[in-house]
Amino acid sequence: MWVQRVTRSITRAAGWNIDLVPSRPTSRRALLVGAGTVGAALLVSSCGTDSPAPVALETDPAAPTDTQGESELRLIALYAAVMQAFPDLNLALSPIADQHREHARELGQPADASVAGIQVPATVGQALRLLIEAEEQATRERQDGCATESSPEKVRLLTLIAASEASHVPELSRITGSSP
Amino acid sequence: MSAWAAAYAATNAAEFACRTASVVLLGRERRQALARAAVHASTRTRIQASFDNQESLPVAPPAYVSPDDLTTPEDGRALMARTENALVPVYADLAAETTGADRTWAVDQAIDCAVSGVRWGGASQAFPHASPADDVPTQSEDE
Repeated sequence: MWVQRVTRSITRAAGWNIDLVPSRPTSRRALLVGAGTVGAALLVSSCGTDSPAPVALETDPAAPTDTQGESELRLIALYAAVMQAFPDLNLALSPIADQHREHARELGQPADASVAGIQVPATVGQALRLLIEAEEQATRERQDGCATESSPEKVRLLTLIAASEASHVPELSRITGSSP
Repeated sequence: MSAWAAAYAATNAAEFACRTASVVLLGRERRQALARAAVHASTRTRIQASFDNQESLPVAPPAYVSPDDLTTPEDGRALMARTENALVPVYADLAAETTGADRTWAVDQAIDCAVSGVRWGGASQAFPHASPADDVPTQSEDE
């Protein structure tokens, strides 16, 4: 019968050609790029707090950063600060924060950043909105990086990271919808 | 196979997967699945136009085999999420292979599919990818 058969279930996407997916794996070694400096913006004065405080945001998470790696560190710090201020969000936010650590590692950065100087809004809703804005900004930065990057492997990496970060927005919106 | 050809084949498969999933979805979700099928079909047309020589287009399979385990709306949503997610690395490959407006477009497609996958209930991934190799369907010329 002249019908190409998809031998396993169609789930995962009907009729994927095995040559298509999985695509080329990201080679950590190949993708490690020169490490940038840790964002000084993350290392402002120390003022850690265990409880949310209604203070103004001194660090603008939407501010552009010098490198893609620094941008990831900024996100890691922001997530850590939010989780520190709102421990109830840990379960929901930890997987996303871990993804940013993976991004940072692939971009040649350490997978951790100081939360010093990161000011968290007073309410859970405001904090989640802040994270959404930061993810949107990060996605734009990765898109911009793709436009100017010359290495195909780096473009591929930044594309995957952009897609990952964009997909955090609906996840965070889901959390926002379920939070009080 | 070039990244363009891979994207062409993938969007063809994705359109079919979305239409298949729509059968077990209801109401608004069914309309959304069909809308995504239309998006992938439109994208395929856009990709097709990028081929200078239409004869170099990959031949799409004349048919796909529907899954046996697609019976509930949950199954449909899961298929939609996996389908959208599986397109992300395909577009990432295309972005890597192209420049200028084509690259920008490919990046946008990757983002769109990743977001759609999560909206269908999938979990975000650090580096969106298809299912593990042993779960990836294969095609054959038999039967």
